[in-house]
Amino acid sequence: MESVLPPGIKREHFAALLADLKKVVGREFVFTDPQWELPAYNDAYLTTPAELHQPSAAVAPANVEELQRVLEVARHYKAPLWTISTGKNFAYGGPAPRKAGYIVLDLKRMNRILEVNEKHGYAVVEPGVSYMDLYRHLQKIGSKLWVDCAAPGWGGVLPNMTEHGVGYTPYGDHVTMQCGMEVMLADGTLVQTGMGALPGSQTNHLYKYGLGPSVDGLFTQSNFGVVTKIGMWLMPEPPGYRPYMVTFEKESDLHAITEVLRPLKVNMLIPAVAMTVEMLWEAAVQVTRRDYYTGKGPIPESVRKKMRSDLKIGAWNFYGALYGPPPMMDNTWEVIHDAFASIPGAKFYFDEDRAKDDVAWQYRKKLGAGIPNMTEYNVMNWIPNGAHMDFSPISPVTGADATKQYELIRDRCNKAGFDYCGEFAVGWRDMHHIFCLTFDRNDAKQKARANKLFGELVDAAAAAGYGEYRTHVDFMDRIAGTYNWNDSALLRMHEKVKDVVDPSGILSPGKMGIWPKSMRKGKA
Amino acid sequence: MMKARFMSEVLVGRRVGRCALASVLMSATLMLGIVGAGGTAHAASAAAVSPEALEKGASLFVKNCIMCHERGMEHPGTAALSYLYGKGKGALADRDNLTPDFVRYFVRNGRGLMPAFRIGELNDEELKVLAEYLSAGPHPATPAK
Repeated sequence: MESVLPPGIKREHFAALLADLKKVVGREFVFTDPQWELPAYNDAYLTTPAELHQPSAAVAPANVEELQRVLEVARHYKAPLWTISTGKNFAYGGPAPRKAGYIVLDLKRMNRILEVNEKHGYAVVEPGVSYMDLYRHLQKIGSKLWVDCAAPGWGGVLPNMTEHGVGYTPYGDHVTMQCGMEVMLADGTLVQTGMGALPGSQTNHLYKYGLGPSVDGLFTQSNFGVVTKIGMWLMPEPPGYRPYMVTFEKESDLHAITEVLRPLKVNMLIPAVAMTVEMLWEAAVQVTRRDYYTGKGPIPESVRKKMRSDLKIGAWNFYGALYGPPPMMDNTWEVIHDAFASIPGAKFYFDEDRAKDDVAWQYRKKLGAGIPNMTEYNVMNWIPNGAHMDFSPISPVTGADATKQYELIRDRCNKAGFDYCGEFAVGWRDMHHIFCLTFDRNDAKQKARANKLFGELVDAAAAAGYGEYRTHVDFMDRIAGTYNWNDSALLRMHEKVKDVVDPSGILSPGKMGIWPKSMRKGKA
Repeated sequence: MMKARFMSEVLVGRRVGRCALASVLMSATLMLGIVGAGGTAHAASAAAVSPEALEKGASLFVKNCIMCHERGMEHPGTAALSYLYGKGKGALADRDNLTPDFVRYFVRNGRGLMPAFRIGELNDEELKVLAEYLSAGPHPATPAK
């Protein structure tokens, strides 16, 4: 890979810029070698040429003081920065910048756990703290607080929240559980939001809204500032935890499962994010495609049936958990059991019913108790050289919508020569439908097909009234473009805010389709 | 081709069979990349690495690698390598044929489902210690989490 320059910056100015950055963070934390240092700042799972996302450099400040001076340098040269924290946003672009030449602003070194408050149940963390870091810290200090982690446990507490990520305990809606935020604006101003704006505040991480407009959301999935610290509420260890699984025999059961599930969720009988997982996801975390089928195209039903039998899974598999004192769990279980038992063929499992080496069950059990692990990455082992990109539209919690979305994706997926590997995660009133598009990262033609399929899915979903909650850097403009009601009023409002809070346009240009004025005409 | 084979044998310390060797390093380009990035390869041994360095390496292994590379097919790195080399041969701590340059190359460039690790998260000095630790394997007692 050859060196590239930031857009609009001449080579001699770039050299001066790098020299200035080195004065701020030290030579060892400015990275420019395209062979040794920068490949890790690109996306391992790209479906487009790596050159499109090749950074010109990366800079890693250690604290807010250094960050402030890095922003000063960037403003001076009008250099585009691309902010990452733990940099593990894989399936959505990883650490890769939106366009070639950006300088990656790597906040991984800002990795302090600033506070764990056992009494009130929260932690305050910097951007570089991973779920595993926080989990290990809580274990070390003997805390009785749980982490709520993303399925890939190496992800970051702060960046997963800012990307609107979810976890699997009752605290799974990460944006809801965030309380108190520190953010640096492009001009270097450090802002405390909410109650933190009150000097000596006693409630910075206890009450979310403060006085006046609540602005925390402006700094999620955005490029309006650099979030440097957040408070996250942590769930106290409950007196009991009993995960369960219900399997269903038929593909068409998705409709009934979703209808049964909605009242259980709305009435909070299932407190955690509820997962309805299609069988190939269950299979992919523990076996490979070639273990069962070496042909091309969709896996035949006879083979799928054998897979279900071997792995003790259903066509759909529901995961939930009971939390609380045993009598409370017993009572709740009666209601849940009876509801799902109305679906013919439903089979119920608790921990004692699943094998100790049942990979799918064991990692879901851990996730429900906030124990970080990486097992879900096994889905990429489904095929050789597997990589993945997630298509994630939001759905109403109805059987008709779930089925419609499933068929919309499954049919296009099969036509394009990929396996449908997906799951539905029910939050408060919505379902995140996650389709894990797995492809061979060493097969250029397959990558091109995956990219084309992804685009078709965006358009088909939008035409049916479904939008995505998050996306890969390659599709940010395309998906932002589907949120175009009233002549794209929302995007135009975002652009107005961008122009005010970041007039130099240095912060993550193009993030979620929001470009600074200077780059709007040139957006890809 | 001969050059490629020679390099691969150096990189894996001449301690793997032909089949495993063929799958360890897939192309001459890849191998040249390793040598070009890391200089002369050499196998480390436990005796050549100080106890302090081994302890530090073990700690770095736990911190950075074990989530994917601990023993057991529930760990995606171990599973991926097991599919490649054979069942029971996927755990990095059990390997006796790693070299520092081999480790360094894959940490900085990734492979298969493994993305590369940035210097911002694992610096070159730490990587050197980690690579020496893994090259001094096998490490029968998996470090505690």
